Amino acid sequence: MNIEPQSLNDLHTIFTQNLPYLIQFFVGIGVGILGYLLGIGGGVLIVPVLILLLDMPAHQAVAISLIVIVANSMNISLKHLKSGMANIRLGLLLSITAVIGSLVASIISVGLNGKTILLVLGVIQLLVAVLTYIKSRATKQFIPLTEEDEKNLPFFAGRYIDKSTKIEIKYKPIKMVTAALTSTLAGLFAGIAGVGGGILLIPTMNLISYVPIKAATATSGLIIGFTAFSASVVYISAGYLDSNSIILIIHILLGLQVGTFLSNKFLSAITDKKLSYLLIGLLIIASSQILLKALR
Amino acid sequence: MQTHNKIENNNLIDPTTVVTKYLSVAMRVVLTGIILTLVIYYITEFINIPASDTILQVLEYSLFIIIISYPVVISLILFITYIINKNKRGVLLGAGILISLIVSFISAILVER
Repeated sequence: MNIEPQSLNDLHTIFTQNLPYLIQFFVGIGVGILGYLLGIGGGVLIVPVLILLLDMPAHQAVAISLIVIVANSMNISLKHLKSGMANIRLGLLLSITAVIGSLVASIISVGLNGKTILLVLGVIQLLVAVLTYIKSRATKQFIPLTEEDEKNLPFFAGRYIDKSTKIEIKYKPIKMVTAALTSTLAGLFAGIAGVGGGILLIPTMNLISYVPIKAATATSGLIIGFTAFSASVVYISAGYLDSNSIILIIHILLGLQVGTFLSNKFLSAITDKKLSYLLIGLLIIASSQILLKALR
Repeated sequence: MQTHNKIENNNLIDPTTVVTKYLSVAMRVVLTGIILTLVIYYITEFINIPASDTILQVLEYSLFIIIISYPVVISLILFITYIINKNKRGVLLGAGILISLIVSFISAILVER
């Protein structure tokens, strides 16, 4: 082992070289908090930071974001499967159509130039801000199971115990075909903008299929893993991920774990609404900056 | 959904439990991998360790493969569980998601060419 003495200058150089990793670590914390409290993959935060702060090409930023979303989906799914809130059957059905959308969008996206991607990203970020607002106000009541349903359980029915009220919620989703078709749109988001599509999936499940918002949030955590996987393989195959990107991803993942831990321990009291409004503000700022960069 | 299957038949395998167990193990492996990779990465910034680049690359790519393969593994687990449970609609859903993931993979290879 050859130990080299380091001067203060060397330490400064190492710090400067690793600054992007430090930024990514803090982005990871943000993503962990968003994922834990809002059930979204965090692509809406990762992509703008990579493009605006680290000056990364749009395609590479999207590829990195998609891998982080797959990892975040593992985190979110584990939490919600343990609590019994995620509806696996509903998740699988919506994943099938979402994956198709994601695949088509990613194939189109790798063929587009950087400026067009930035333009699309900026518009999608604005759209996501609107959807976040809709999601924060979405409070459709679920359709409870009848006695007949209890005897012969509908295939997509779900049940879980609401921790805040300690009441068992039993529900049956409706309009499954419409919800499945709408989730294709979420897939399109994932493929082009490097987001999981959770921000679209949650209102879809709640407003169309009348799935309770907590179950919709939990189920969306599972679906975003599939959509992000489908898009990420296309980006990886197209060569948008190198070994430097992997080490960057690992820093985000460390932050993500810290963010999840912090949310679990200290941030449970923060209401979804407050966090949603903060996210909307960030999205509006990020989208305007991305659009400006695209039009320059 | 955990209780869903228990209501139907207590002898059936609960897909949620199987997926949860897999995810618990996978998450522990990923967390250990993240810490190990970063420790080695930062040690090599200060000290030259023989073959450190190779070790780092092996760790990075192993971690990457574990993360990226997670959707495929859980769809496979669900598909097999539904086959064992003889749940026809479940098998269809499992097959549907598996096929769509395989199609994604093939399309990705074709895009590269």
